[in-house]
Amino acid sequence: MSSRKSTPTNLPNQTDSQATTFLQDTFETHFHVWFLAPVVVFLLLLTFIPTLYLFYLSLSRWDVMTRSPAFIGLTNYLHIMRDPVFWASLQRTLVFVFSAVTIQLVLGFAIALLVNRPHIRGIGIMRTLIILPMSITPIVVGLMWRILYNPSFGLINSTLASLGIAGPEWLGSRDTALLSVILVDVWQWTPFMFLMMTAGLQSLPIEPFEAARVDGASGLQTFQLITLPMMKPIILIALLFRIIDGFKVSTFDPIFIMTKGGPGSITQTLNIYAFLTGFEWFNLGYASAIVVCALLLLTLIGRLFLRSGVFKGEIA
Amino acid sequence: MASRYGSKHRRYLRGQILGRIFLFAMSIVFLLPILWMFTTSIKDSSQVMAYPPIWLPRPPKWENYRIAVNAIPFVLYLRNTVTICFFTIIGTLLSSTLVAYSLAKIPWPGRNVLLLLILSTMMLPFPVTMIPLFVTFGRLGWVNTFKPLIVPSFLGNAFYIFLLRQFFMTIPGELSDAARIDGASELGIFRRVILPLSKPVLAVVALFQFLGSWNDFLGPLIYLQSNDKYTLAIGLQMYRTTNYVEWELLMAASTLVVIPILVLFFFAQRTFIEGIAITGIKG
Repeated sequence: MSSRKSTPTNLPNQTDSQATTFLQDTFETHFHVWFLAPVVVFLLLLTFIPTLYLFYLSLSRWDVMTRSPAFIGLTNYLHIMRDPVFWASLQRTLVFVFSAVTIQLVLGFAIALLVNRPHIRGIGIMRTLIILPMSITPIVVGLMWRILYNPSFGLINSTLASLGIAGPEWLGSRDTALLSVILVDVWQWTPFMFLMMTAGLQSLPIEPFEAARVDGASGLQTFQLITLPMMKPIILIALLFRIIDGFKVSTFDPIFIMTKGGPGSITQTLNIYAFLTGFEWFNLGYASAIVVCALLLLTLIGRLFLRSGVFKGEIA
Repeated sequence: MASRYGSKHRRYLRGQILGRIFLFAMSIVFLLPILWMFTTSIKDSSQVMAYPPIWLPRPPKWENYRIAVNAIPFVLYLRNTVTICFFTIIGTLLSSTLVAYSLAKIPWPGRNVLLLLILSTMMLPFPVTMIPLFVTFGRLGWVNTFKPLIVPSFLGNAFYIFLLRQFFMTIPGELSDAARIDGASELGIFRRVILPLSKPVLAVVALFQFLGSWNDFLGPLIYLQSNDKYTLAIGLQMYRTTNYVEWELLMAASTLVVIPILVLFFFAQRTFIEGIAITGIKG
């Protein structure tokens, strides 16, 4: 093992050369450990320790009045239990993520099924156009939709007006603001679902479909009994990706730009609430407690997915 | 028999036509906001507010682009953004490939546990580490520098590790074995056998990392505090004066921010789609 590679070095000093060889041998024998070094540092320094620190902060009072975190036990959590803004933000986040992701899946799957037939001319270019939105900078997405939604000169209301309909105020109204930001997420991320579903459909074996056709199955039957079960793993993966991303980015960047949580706090998701609490009102202790609650929620959702077997057989 | 063939053919044709109409409608829906951003960017301010809406202003006011670039330190922000993108791409490629290779190709006890740990960090919402890291980077004196945005990429990224691992798994072990018999070192095998075979997936990682850094908003928003450090995503906010938004300039700048992405996207579309497919199918 040690002789696998022992490059002779030109150094005159024997012990030096031995040391080099020893180092090389150690590297050769344990190279996988060295390869892992970055990720171990990453996990420790950028993930586990910060997460532990977050738990500690969530048990502390740390705001403009206190210079360093002071331990206060579960006070922040007790406060959260009675904080209507927190519960409203939580509910909004769940409504946002689940309705957006559901619409994206249904729409993306429908487009994928339609595209997944051979010989439609110009299909390549259409596919390119359809997936454009997901590559656009989320901030720019927020900005371009603010123009489209503008109640006085936005394209949407101008179009509605030409049809004789008085459009709502969209982002400006308490009734439509949440719906408006959800629609923007649908616009940006349906293409992702479409891509995933297309990739999934193209990886399906052809035999079951031919068998079904020979047996005279209807299109709906084929879809229900063959396509859907075989697509289940990729559907779950796609859902998981979108839900995770929904809790991370989608419920922050575009909303922050379009409404900053307003009007009132109608579009204030957990992320926005935590950001405002921590970085605008400088109450880092309470913000940490909010984030811990979001984390627990997401862990629960993740467990549900893991139990459904998304990663089954893939890890080993 | 003939009629049956006919009805089947008719159904096929109907499917084709309906499919095409639906697709066409969908591509318009997905494209229109982007087009609208562009046409707004070449209007003058009265045309922005005009009713009925003006689709293509004549003559186009290309001057908006010059004004927009000069209204904020656009070139400086572009340079900042490119700097961050460049180093994060290097960092990610260096670290994530090593880690992924170890996780994919070398059997050692506990590697599945580590993989699960890494995957589970993908589940962590960004804000979880946002506050503690902000405090830590603050103590290190890194706030208002690019370091908090660049250094983490040199420690790997769960998503890219996962992506690369999935790809490395598909490279047959015989290749590395042959190189090993020929006396190549492990690092040599990694560099001369594995990496050259992985060019497509490395392109995917570089592309995604570019998009990630280019589009990042929350990171720069928290860490970059002085005007001269801003990235483009943050700089876009500066077109908003106290009670008035210069929409045509904002849209011109937005278009400029999006153009590199669109160009990359058209040229690297296959890479992009492949990346998504790798995560999806093999995930």
